[in-house]
Amino acid sequence: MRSARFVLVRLGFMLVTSLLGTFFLLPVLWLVTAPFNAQATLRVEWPSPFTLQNFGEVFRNTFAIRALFLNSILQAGGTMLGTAVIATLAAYALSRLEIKGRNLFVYLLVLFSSVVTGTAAMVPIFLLLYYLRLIDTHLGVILVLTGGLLPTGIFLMRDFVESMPRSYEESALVSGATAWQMFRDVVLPVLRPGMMVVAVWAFVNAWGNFLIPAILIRSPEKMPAPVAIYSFYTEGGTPVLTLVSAYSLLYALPVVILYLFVNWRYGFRFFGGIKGGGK
Amino acid sequence: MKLQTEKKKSHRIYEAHVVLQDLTKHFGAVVAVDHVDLTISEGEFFALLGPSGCGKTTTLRLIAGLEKPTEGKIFLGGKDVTNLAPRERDVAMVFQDYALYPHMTLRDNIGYPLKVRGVPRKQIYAKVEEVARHLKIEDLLNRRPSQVSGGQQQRAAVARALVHEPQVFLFDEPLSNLDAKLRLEARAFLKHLQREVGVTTIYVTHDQAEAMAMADRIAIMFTGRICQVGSPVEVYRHPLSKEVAAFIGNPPMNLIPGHITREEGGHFFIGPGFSISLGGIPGAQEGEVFLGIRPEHIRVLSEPHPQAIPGKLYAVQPLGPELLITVQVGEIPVSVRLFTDDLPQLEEDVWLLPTLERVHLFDPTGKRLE
Ligand SMILES: Nc1ncnc2c1ncn2[C@@H]1O[C@H](COP(=O)(O)OP(=O)(O)OP(=O)(O)O)[C@@H](O)[C@H]1O
Ligand SMILES: [Mg+2]
Repeated sequence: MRSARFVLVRLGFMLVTSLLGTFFLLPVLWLVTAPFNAQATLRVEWPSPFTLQNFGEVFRNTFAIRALFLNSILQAGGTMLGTAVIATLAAYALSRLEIKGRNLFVYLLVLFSSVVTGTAAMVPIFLLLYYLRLIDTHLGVILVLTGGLLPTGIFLMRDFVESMPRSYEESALVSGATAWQMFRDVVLPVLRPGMMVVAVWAFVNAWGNFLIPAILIRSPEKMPAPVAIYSFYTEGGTPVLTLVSAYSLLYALPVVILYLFVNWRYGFRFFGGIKGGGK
Repeated sequence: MKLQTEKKKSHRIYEAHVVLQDLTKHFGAVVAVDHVDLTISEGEFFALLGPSGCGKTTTLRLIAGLEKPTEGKIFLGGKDVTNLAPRERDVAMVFQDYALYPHMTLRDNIGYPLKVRGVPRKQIYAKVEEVARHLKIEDLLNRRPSQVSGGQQQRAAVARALVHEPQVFLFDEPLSNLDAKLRLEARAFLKHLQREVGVTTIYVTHDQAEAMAMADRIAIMFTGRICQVGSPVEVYRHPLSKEVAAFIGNPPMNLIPGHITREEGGHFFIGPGFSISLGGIPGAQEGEVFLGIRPEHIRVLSEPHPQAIPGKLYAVQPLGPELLITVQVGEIPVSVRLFTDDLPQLEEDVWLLPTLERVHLFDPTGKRLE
């Protein structure tokens, strides 16, 4: 009796997870098959006839390639760096300094962060950047994206900072370290797994952002990939599936590589991960 | 071990000791340290003992410079360091959790105080090797803290404190994370090491046995105040208050409430259901008192005795080399330690004979009567 019920429950569980898995796996399957298909459709099918022709054509589109391998890397990379560094410093200060109402401050920041980069704020942001003469610059995009990601980044980093025992810092100070030596030798290395999480998260967010660069970037040679992908659409606005899929695959690669690199080099250890004391 | 250079040593004899003057620390409404005055001599092993939350750690952190005093002054080696940063004080501290940096090997951990002082790498490693060899952790230097045992971590933390030859060692309950057996070993090890190195040491603990076993002198602290300072023997034999008497010793001193009357033949103590002559005990005066007697200064009799306190046997605990006996005297449980491994034949009714020379008297406020 009991074992029969157990088997049924297991079966049901597997069925549900398989369905869910298929649902999420299908687009991925499409992404890795369609680019090699000379006659790609929206269906997942074995590439026939198999071809690398699509990639050849994508690479001939220098505008799109420059957008992907230069502009997107610059903008997402800059946002990643800015967010990780500033979030770490801010989270550290917010956690270690006695500031009245600091929790409220962080929550308010997180609450309004979605507003900052959201559609509602686009006009003021555009005007602000216009007066700062940052329209149509990489820096402008990086600043706006970083500003939007920082509150959540700070929020994430704060958990890492709070899980670091204060005695690490205090013991460094008593050992004779200056505040800067303590920060460089002890705080930063201990927080590095957290910084990596925030950095990758910021990169992925910036990498996929369409709205901000679409509005702030004017000249084609500075547009990033999410905007440039529209050069693979026909005049009428329908995607050329063979080219869009090939470009999308190329577009996905840097994120995958970054993730694998960070995971291999530092390992993603989430909250409290420093307890084990590193590898 | 030649951890101290001769020059530094001779220089210290005149200067390096710790003076706390009227030291006070408030955290908002909480008074963590309350007008503490202490003088600690050169080379002394000084224990700060008290129950949890009495302000021991705060006192230590004030000395290290990790907290700013609300009031008072701190002198190290004759120099006023009250307003100096930790790095300008030349002290070393071993934290309760050891605070070894998880991303560094033990070698880099131990060498860190030298590194921040700009000592060349070669010299750092030579010195680290020397100290590590002395503490018998030289084989572990390439490991991370997470890859060694608790006892080894503790040694590494001590090594890091030792490596830059500070004026003063500060220990905050360094043994509380070790298991019972290791703790006994570490006690002997730390005491031996301190004698050898000769550095003034302030050692915080809430374990009275640890303080008694290791320290040259002990300061006993309750709610931010120092109640008594003295050698282990002094605080054991001559507690200045009922609280101190009850804190030192294991099990603690028995305290029996009652009053003293004066009759012909001297003073008598009237307790719950008994009366004994106090003879010529100093401090005996008529009125309400607490009679204090340590468990090891009582004999258990199976027959009545004019000088004995009658009670009911409650429990007998054989502990190997000694017996721990609990007797109800009225409502009060009285502990007795007998240094024997023979189980005594006892009926329910027993009589406790205190050693009169070892009886303490405290007034109702807890102050010792002399
Ligand atoms: N940073 C702080 N903020 C507020 N109160 C504090 C702070 N540090 C300590 N206290 C309070 O000061 C008092 C003394 O604390 P302290 O840590 O010195 O005690 P302790 O004797 O070391 O106790 P334990 O044996 O538990 O470690 C306690 O009441 C504690 O709650
Ligand atoms: Mg403490």
